[in-house]
Amino acid sequence: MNKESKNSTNIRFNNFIEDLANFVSSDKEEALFFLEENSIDLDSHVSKDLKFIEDAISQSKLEEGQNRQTNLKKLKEYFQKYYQGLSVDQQNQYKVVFPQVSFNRFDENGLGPLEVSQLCDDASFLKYLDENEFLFDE
Amino acid sequence: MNKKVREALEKEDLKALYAKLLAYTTAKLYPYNWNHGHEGALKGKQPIDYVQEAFKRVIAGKRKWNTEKNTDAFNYFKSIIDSLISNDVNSVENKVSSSTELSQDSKLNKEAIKNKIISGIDILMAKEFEQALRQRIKSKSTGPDDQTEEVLDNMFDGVFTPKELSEVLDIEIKKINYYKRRIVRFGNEVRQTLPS
Repeated sequence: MNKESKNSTNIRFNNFIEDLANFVSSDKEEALFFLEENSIDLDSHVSKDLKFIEDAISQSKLEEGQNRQTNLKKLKEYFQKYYQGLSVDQQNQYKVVFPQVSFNRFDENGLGPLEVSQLCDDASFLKYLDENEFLFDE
Repeated sequence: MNKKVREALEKEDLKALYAKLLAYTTAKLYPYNWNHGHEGALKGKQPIDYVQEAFKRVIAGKRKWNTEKNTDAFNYFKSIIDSLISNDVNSVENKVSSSTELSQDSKLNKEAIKNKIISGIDILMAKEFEQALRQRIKSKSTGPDDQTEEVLDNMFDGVFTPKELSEVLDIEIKKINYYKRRIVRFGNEVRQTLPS
């Protein structure tokens, strides 16, 4: 077989495979039909592998929640330290923050997932600090 | 896992995505694993291995998925699978071309190996497959109106999109898909009869 003929066979066969692969993956029904034709039991693979993906999604959510909590604690510590260094008049200006802090129970032992979630969704505490430009201006 | 990747995966019907990727990979590997259980050019790797590897790479962040640019999850995972297959095929080709054993072989053997692996495709087997598939289609013809072979011709020639082909053959896309399903079935039957 000469080189030209081999290349032509190669291109033609690649065309066929490409078309076939695109067709059998064009939607779920075609994919299931094709897998069945090839005696591939999707369920035996999918349950284990999807669990792996779903576990990774859950783990990612958990880590994100933990990171949020850590960041909020750091922000609160920073705020407290900053507050201590202010004059009495300046401290009075920021007293409005405390009801929000208390509402979210920052002063208790850690934050529950619901409190963190509420605080992050609401973000009023952080927004206040940011708007007053005393948290990030050092 | 990156938050945007997680959100993109959460939007997907994961089972459907998985099924489509597994079907796609199985078809793509036809030329490399002609028969079940035959090691082929990919050293026994199965379609499922590529699908799993693609997911693992994205989840571990080894592949950075820009979900704003690549909004279609299937196409994105498909591109990873293509790249994994291509890497394995190239590695086999390099191994063959640099093999010291090969240099000691006769010119005839070298030619036989070159024929066997060009872009991972066994050319002789590809020709044999096409002939057997055409015979199968003829023997299973449903009559003079059967256009399975015309659809097959287009699959090999790669000239028309399904929409264009539908216009050229003057049949509905639905009917083209029906013929393609027949080709899938006959192709699979033919593959089982080819020697490994």
